Amino acid sequence: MINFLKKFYSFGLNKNGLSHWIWQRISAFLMIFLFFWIIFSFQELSINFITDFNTWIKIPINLILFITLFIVVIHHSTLGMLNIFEDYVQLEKKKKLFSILLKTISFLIIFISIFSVCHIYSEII
Amino acid sequence: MKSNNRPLSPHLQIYKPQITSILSISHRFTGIILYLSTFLISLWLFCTAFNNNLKIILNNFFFSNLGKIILFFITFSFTYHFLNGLRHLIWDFGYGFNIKNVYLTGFIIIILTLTINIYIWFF
Repeated sequence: MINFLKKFYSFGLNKNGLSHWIWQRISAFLMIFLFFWIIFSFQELSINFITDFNTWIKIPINLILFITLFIVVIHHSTLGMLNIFEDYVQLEKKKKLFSILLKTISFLIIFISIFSVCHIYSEII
Repeated sequence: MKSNNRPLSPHLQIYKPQITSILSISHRFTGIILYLSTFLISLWLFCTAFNNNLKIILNNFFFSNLGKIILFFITFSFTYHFLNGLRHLIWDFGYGFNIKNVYLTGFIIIILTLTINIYIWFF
């Protein structure tokens, strides 16, 4: 049980194949609902998307779900890219280096996006 | 086995082009495009929050022809990857594995992807 939880809490980012597989599916399931939500939400904004986005993101539930979606998307794509490295990068050292680089870039993207969105949220209307 | 001689997946040119292999390769390829497009979304969010001039430049770029082509590739990749991802999830539950169903769902995904993209960009 403890071993299973360890695999589960690594979010698929360690070397364990099962954990990777499970988290890729969990994130995919979450994304189905979150993308349906965001597509229908954005449809209402689409006439003047650029200006309406700033007011839309100021609603707390939109902010929380948007951040959740962004984290899940980056998590899912990082796992996917790691899979590609696993399949097509032959040298172990190179694979490790690419993996670290990828995780760093993914973390930076999440950080920049959340920071930006929170900044828009805190702006006075 | 030496650590510098890891076994790899067969390289892409080894497969005979057929709907199953093409759709599988496309799933990965569109996944890479979508990962790269998150950089653009992140940049757009950053500009929207912090730099008004850059935001205007970026918005004008997305209204230009090149920007529209990039957005087209992103929406195309997204719809394809989303639909094919659903197909993968159905496979994970153990359904649709026989060759007839694999071909049928493959064709359905191609047609749906084209229809959705034509609807998004032309209507």
